[in-house]
Amino acid sequence: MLGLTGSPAELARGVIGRSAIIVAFLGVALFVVPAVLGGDWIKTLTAVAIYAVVAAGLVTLYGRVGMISLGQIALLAIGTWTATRISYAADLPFPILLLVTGAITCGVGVLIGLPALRLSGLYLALITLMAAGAVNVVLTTINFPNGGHGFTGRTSTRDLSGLQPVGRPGIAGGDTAYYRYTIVVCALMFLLIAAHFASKPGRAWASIRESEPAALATGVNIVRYKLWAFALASFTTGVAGGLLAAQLGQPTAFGFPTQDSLTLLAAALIGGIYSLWGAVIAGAFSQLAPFLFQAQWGIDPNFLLIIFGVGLLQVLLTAPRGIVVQMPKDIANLGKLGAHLFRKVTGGSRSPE
Amino acid sequence: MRSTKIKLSVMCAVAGLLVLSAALATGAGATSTAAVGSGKASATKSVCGAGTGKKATGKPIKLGGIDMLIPGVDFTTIGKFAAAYFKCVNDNGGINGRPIKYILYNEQLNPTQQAALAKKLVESDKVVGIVGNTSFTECGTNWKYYKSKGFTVIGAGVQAECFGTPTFVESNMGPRYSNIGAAQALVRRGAKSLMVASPDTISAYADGGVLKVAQAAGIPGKAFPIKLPITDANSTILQLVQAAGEGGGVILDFTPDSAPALMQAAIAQGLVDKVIWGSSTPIANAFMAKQFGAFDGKMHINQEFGNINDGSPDENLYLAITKKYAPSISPQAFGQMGFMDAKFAVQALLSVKGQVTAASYNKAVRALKNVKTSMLCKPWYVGNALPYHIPNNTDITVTYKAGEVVTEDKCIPIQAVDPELTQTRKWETQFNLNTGK
Amino acid sequence: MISFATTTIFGVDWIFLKPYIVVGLALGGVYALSGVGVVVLYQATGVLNLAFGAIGAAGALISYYLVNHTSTPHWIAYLACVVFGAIVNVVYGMVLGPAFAGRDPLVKMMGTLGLALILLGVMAWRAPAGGAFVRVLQLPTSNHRYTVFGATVNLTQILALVFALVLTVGTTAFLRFTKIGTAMRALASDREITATLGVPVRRVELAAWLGSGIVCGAAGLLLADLFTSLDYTALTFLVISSLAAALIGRLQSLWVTLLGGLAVGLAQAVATPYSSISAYRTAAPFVLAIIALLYLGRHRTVTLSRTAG
Repeated sequence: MLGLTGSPAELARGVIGRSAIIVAFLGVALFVVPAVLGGDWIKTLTAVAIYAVVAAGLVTLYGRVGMISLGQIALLAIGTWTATRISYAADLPFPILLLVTGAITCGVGVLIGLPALRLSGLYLALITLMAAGAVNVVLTTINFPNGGHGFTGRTSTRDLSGLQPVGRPGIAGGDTAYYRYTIVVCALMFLLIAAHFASKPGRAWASIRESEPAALATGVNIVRYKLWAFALASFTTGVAGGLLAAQLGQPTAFGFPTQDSLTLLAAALIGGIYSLWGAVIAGAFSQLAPFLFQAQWGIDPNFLLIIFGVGLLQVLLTAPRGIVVQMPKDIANLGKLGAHLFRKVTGGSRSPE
Repeated sequence: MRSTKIKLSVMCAVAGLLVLSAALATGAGATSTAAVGSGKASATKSVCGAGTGKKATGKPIKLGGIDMLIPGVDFTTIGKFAAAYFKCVNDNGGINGRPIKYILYNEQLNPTQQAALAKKLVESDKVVGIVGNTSFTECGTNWKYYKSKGFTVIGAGVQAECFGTPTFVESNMGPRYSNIGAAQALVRRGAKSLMVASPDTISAYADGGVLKVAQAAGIPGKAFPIKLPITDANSTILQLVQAAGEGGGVILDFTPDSAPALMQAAIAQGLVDKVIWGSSTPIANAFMAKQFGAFDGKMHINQEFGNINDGSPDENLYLAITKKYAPSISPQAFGQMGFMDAKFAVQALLSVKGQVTAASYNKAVRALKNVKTSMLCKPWYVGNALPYHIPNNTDITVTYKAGEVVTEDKCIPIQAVDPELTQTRKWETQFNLNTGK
Repeated sequence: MISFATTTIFGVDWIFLKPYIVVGLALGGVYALSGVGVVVLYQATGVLNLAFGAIGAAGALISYYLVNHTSTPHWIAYLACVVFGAIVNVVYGMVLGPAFAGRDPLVKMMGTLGLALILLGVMAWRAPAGGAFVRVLQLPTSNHRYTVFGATVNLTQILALVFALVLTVGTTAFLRFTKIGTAMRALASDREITATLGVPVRRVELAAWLGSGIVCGAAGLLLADLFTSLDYTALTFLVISSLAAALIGRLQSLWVTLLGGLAVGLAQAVATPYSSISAYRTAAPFVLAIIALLYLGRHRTVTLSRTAG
């Protein structure tokens, strides 16, 4: 994310420029969007932010370290479940609830990661997919807590007036306020990940991705840093799960099908797996696009699957760095083309091309 | 790279065309020019709306609906048939000259999506009412929101919240009561036990009533939550039959997307004659009857609505609307649900005096009572400010016979094993909700 | 425990348990068939084809349409499914295969995911799931039934098992003992070097994708019948459960994949009468795969990137 070439002045300009873009983006998200768009948009964009954080976990694991986890949605489900269960069991302030959820999910992620670390590439990807499948079966069987007792916290009472949804923070009960709260928390998660990239773990991960034997030779503790990556990705996904629990109110197992892990990875690849902005695009693809297609434009959302598939193939073959890198390039090329045409039309001098 | 892109597009086009050719829609559209649903309503004939036979051309009245559509279960049929009914009404003068515009969204059980769509309908699309909703979870997600906006939703319910909150009023009775009806049918036929299987997401609610019936009859009962989609039908059906024992009863509570696998497994395993079979409403249609002749007279299906071919006024109108406006929807319970949801909504609209707004329409909905339809055993009602509504609580049992669905037991009240049913019947007599007065 | 007085195993009567073994082997045949199909493709082309289920489902839809809406003789309709599988695989393999050639196996797998999504989208758009309407594709072999141990199996289930067995034996021999087979294995390992050795790369690739495609189509037909209703989403994502069998064989040994598939089916079915674990039995493929992978991978240390490990 930070380019490390160029003179100090250029570097400073680069950092200021990038920070300005981020601040502007957040400003628009926090203040302009709620003023302009309606309640249905707000609800959808909240989900976009949450899934962007999950995609950022993928960017960390695959983009930075070279490990694939196809179980991110399962981790999200575990985070949502944990947050739901805890919110019924204890009356914690919401930020504490998020931290506890993140910590527990982090623990689960590390537990899964530890034995799986000996595998690599395809096998790691597939074992995480298998773990996701198993988690999905367990979740659909025990279902989500709804205020009952015991470990599963599920009561089959027919008195529905007593069932409370997962509580939101006191300052952010309404949808718009909660949207802003979510944006802030997600931005903090992104900041946490970016901070990792810019410091020692980031460098260690980059060297692991390039060549494990070389990293080992330079004294990088591979197991520790790989686990660290798993821990970071699981923690942030767990926090996202906590946010999702309060967004949904009464989550159900239907919200987390196993195949969503595959489609989220596809979205992350299309958005740009090597950049955190790509994660934002991935969140938009997976949550905003279906809403746009169905509710706003009235197009059959099945077309989206086709577009997804074509987009994925396109990205893998021609633009592996995703939209986030390809689009500015394409726009720049378009601009050059436009300038070229303009010169031709206005009969400018024939410059050697 | 360009050549790869071109190859990519060609490949996609080829794949698309091949699958396209494989799955073209069937059936020619009906081109009947007879005026469907027009004329004068009588005891033998039903009409759409005012029945004028003239197209409505005024400013549209907007209604909205949200139906669940997931792999394995498709409830959008209900909304689509409601849309067909509204088309019929629009061709017959509409609501005092104004046509109805029906906006139907589908959802995939994503609560964020469900909430967003509800908001969109009420706040952006500005519909005056919500009609035709059916889902595994939407009642639970949105009932408080609809209540806060003063909306009373007419739909077809599955979840407990659809029959346990003031916001939703259903034209059907839902899986719990339909299963109780099937259980009663099996007990009448001497079943020695009652095993019931439902999708695991609704099992706790849907199967509880059957267990109470078993308890009251003094026979063993057990519920089996089944994970959808069904991948091991053979194991599941074996488990059910073993648990029921010889002469026991097995109740299946699945839609036609999942039930065939189980019924086919029962035939393949030679288990059809080992137990007495029962089912809730969704498989009561001619398509299933033709497919499963092996179950003729052996599968006792609780049918929440009338038999489609009984020749009564609303059933005839239903078939006529199907032919003209919805030829691709084969006659089935989901279509009947859409028909009734739309009919009740139109009744409410026609009864509004003055401006049709969200407030006036929903007030009219809540005032509905003694609404007669030949599709139901008793008149339908909302009953104003009741804490919950179970207007459909008496129905028939049907079975398959030679590729058709035929009636076995006529209108029998659902056994009052739930206190809510007892209370509902008290309200019915207390407020004259369906006594016809 | 196991009591001999009334022959119960962990509390369930043997006489009730017996039929589940038969049912489990039949279910195992399904997993084994798709698992072997996936590994065959991987062995021959180096691509883990996640679109295996989707291609089969699309082919089955075509057969369904031909059987129910045209007067095509049934055997031609079934052949169409196989042919469709072959065509899609060949087109994908020959057009996009070379472009993916030097890439990570993970990237190759993601490419097939793209294909699966496209097919799924087209199927959902053109052949949407109905309300009362369900598509059933029944092969004529399903009408022949046999009773074994108190449970009934039909000819299609037996065929699925036999097909998986034949595929395993045949492909193992083919890849090991024939020239083209050896060339395929070399190609899957490293395309560049194999080309420099004078092997006719394009022709061998064509043979690999064609063979895999035929397997894909035939498996799709059998699976559509065994699942009764043509639920293309379930069939498409059946590949996730089938991957379990493939992973037990570590994507290498066809025999272990076959046996792994049978073991998974058995475990899932036999768990049914035990009420404490019955609700979780659909996790059997995943749990067994995880155990197998962790146990079999316990000696690995560091790896270079770009290979499957």
